[in-house]
Amino acid sequence: MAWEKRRNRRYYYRSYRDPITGKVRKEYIGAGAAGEEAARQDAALRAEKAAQRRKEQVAEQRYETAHSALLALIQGCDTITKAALAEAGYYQHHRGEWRKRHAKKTNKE
Amino acid sequence: MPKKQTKNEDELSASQQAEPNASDSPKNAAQVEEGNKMQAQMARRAKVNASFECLRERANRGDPNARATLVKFLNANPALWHKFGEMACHAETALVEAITDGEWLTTQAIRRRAAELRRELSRPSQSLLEELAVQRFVACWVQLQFVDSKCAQADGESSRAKLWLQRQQQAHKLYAAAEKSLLLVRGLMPPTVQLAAAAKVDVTVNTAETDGAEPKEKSNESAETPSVAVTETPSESAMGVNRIAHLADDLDQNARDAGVVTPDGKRRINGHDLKGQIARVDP
Repeated sequence: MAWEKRRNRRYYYRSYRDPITGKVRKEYIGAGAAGEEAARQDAALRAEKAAQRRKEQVAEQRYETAHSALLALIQGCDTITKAALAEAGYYQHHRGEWRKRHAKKTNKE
Repeated sequence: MPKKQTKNEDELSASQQAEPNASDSPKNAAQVEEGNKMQAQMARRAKVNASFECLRERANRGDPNARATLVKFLNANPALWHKFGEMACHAETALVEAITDGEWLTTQAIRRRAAELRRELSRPSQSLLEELAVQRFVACWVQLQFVDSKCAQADGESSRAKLWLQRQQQAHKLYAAAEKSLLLVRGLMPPTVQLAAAAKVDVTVNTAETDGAEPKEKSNESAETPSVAVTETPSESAMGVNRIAHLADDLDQNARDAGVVTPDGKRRINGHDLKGQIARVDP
């Protein structure tokens, strides 16, 4: 999207990617007032997209912060739960289910 | 090793040689001394952190000694429990802020809904461990709601939509893990057993035993009577119990689908009938 200067006159062209061929194409908009108006509209659109992108980045950052806090909580909870279960006499069978460790029988009877 | 030691010694001697030049005036000497103290403190802290991380990894791998040491450490430092409580609060607040983008009314609504869920899931005589599991569950639930809404908003084929889809899968996994953890704590460690285990640990801390073999046997004795604990705690919050019973039903259904059910129709999780314990509490 730019102004092009030819024979001391400015012409506004809008470039876009052809959805069928995938190549970049230029569309002639016009010179003078029409070109100025199109340039203003394009600039506003670009600014809006940039603001949207910034907003999304901030949201992403917030989500990442929250997610890392949640992961830290989960890791801590897991460690504490495992420690408490081990203390209560359980063990994890093949990293899977928790089983009770039974005391061995004596031959006094 | 010897090479490292000689290198460290060289560095130390070099710093000692550099000291007199830096300490021309008393102010500089004080500053250098403070700097050395700070460095020593930081080194000590780094060493403690490294050993703690090592212990944590060992506990995660299933080392019973490391876990016993961690339990003793937690008992000796109750501030850590508070820290985890704050972490739960922080995680939930951060998630709610991420969802609402600072919009006051929505923030209040989501916080109230989370508090309601927490209330439904809580029991009158629940332990700290159970409370922590409930907080984790609620935080995961908030995250799942957020990610689900984002997935619904995103376009079908954009890269952003794929990213949110991945996050949705991750959030589902975390939610399922939180649910499983809560059921595990409720199923295997009824409140009185947890209290008894904590009491045993306190005893071990006081007597400063390092093996932890005898206390485990004692805690086994206390854990062998869960029925007393369950009958002692009739639930006042029927909603919460029903919800947990419902979750247990879901797990049972999954187990039936997977064929992990005993012939008498009971599901034996970790050697205990999980649903049975919950059903006994159900009014």
